[in-house]
Amino acid sequence: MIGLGAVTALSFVAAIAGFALHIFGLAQIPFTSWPTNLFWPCATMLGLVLGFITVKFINSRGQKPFPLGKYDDLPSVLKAIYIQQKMADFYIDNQGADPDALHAAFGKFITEHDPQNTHSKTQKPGVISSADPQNVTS
Amino acid sequence: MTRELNLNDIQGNITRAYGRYSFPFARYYFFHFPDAACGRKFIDKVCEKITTAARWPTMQDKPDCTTNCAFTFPGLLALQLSIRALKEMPFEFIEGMKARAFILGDRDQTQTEAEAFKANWNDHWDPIWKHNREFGSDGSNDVHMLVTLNAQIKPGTTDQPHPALEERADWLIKQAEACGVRVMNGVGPDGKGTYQSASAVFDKIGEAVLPTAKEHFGFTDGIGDPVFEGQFEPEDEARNVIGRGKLMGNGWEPLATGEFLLGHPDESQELPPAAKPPEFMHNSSFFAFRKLHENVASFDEVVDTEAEKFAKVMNVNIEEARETIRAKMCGRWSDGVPLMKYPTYDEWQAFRKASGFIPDIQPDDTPEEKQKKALDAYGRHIAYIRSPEARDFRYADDMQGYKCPLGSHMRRVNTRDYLDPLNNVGTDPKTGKPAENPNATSALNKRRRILRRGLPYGPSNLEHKDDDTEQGVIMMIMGANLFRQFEFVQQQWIQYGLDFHQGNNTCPMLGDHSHHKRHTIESDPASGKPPYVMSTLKTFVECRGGDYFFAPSMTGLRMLAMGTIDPT
Repeated sequence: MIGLGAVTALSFVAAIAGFALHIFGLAQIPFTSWPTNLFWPCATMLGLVLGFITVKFINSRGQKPFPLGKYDDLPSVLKAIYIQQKMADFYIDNQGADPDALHAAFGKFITEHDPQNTHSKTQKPGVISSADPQNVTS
Repeated sequence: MTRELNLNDIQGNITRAYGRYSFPFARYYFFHFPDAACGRKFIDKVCEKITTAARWPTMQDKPDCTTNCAFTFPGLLALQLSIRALKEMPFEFIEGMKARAFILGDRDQTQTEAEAFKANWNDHWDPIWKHNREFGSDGSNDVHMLVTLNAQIKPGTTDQPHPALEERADWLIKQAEACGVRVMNGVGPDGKGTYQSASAVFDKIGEAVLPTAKEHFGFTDGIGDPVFEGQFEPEDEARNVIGRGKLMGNGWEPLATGEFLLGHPDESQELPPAAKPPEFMHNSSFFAFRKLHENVASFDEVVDTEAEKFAKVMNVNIEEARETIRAKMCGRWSDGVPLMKYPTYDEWQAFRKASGFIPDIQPDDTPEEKQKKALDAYGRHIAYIRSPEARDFRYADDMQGYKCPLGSHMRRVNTRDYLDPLNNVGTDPKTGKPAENPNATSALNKRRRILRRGLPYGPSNLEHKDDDTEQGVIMMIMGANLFRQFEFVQQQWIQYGLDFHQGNNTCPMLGDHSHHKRHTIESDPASGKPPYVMSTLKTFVECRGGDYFFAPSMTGLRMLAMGTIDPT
């Protein structure tokens, strides 16, 4: 990206220099046979094209999302929020339960809410609670 | 250095919670000024009777009945104060309490304004407050002035107000009529009352009916009110400041005067915002007058239901479960003993016994002996709740909430040293126990303190009470800045729980539980018991009306009466 920027800047510098030589009456760029009246417009055009490409390139890099952390994807976050709420309900419903009943209830909880499946039984995006069944995907 | 205040210029209800100074009866009258001239005339008359904050060196200096007054923003507008002075009043005071209902949680926060208005959100308010500042009205039902009367007990009785209360009330009404000021009615659910009465909750102590320090849910109230510089004489301040001031590394210190009185430096060493001219606002304060109804039957029903489950989970008897649930909601046991000092039921019972709160009545005691023992126990309890022992505790040594739940009422309304950002939340590696944080300060708390004035209203404990009977607390919540102090505490700490790691859970006692019905009671893992989550909370306390008031100094009142408030 820095190289692209440097070449763009160089093109504009060359265009300005060519234009100056043309103004001062030189017909050719020194040590070459390039006519100054054609050189400076070509260098300007090259600078504009390279500048456009540089801006597009920077924008495309800027818009690229940061790499995701583990479980940072939206389905995982929504599932975590969903499970957090359902786990709180589960805790309240089973306060004081004896170990056998608790074990059975937890098995039912895992089956019903399937914590590993991030796409089914999860909170829909854009809502703040899973309390309303309408906010939960089936 | 203790600040010396001009107590003769300050209204007495700012420095004194009259209920604690043996004034267990009150009446609140509301007035409307048809025009500025009659309003000024009336204020001039009321000024003659205003009780100031001047000390009462002897019992004879103590009045039988106190008188204080305050004004709403429409009241000041009706008195034709200069717009230049009015526009510099705090915005929340200008808006009034009804307009702030969404912020305060008095209105369902899940509804839009249009939905709330369509549902007549304040239909349950007393008519006087329902029609006060009604949108689109001509203002003829606006409350302009509040006059509060507090009275001592009639000599020779234990449960009757001093006749001075009736006399002062008659005088007040006559003056209003003579000046052409309207005494407003519409008080009470049926709107027939012309004043709001209030009194301590009376109960039978032995055979005598006496005022208690309790509210209608049965909790002892009004123990830890803030203390500010200049409020007490230096020798009294040293004792009163314990548990009521701030902790900044040098033990308990009084809060800055400017937290409660305008015109004095506050905790940020600034003068609180106030309108001009300075002498009009100096030594004045603001307060929120709130009629808070208590749903006694719902409260008892929820406590009973939760206590049954709690008893099973914790393997304790139902009485212990009931008392523990109540204490863990409040932060104090029902007699005011703080959980932070006596966190378990057994410790509390042992302390009560050792302190003599329970009369040691024997079967062969004569009626006189029984009565004497009952009164002695009552006296010892009153002495205890007025003592520093009932207030001298911190929360930074219980960052996990094992002793006093993080979401309990007391930890929300006065966080003490819990919110110091430097507190260590975890375990002390040296002791293996929860960190003690001995140097914790009142940071983030000292700018959010409120003075609580007012009294309960409703029947004594000898009468039937349920959700529909008329009982609750008249709260006057004072501070130099209602937005920074009262509204912040109400919105962030009572109706929300994030500062206490409680998510959306609201205060278990004062919060709106129409959507969030849970309260977690943390448990020390060393006890082997799991935390308990209450999950069936109902809204136990509902606002039934009120407004924001400005309580001027004596100088301010004189200027109001003379119409000489010139901000230039």
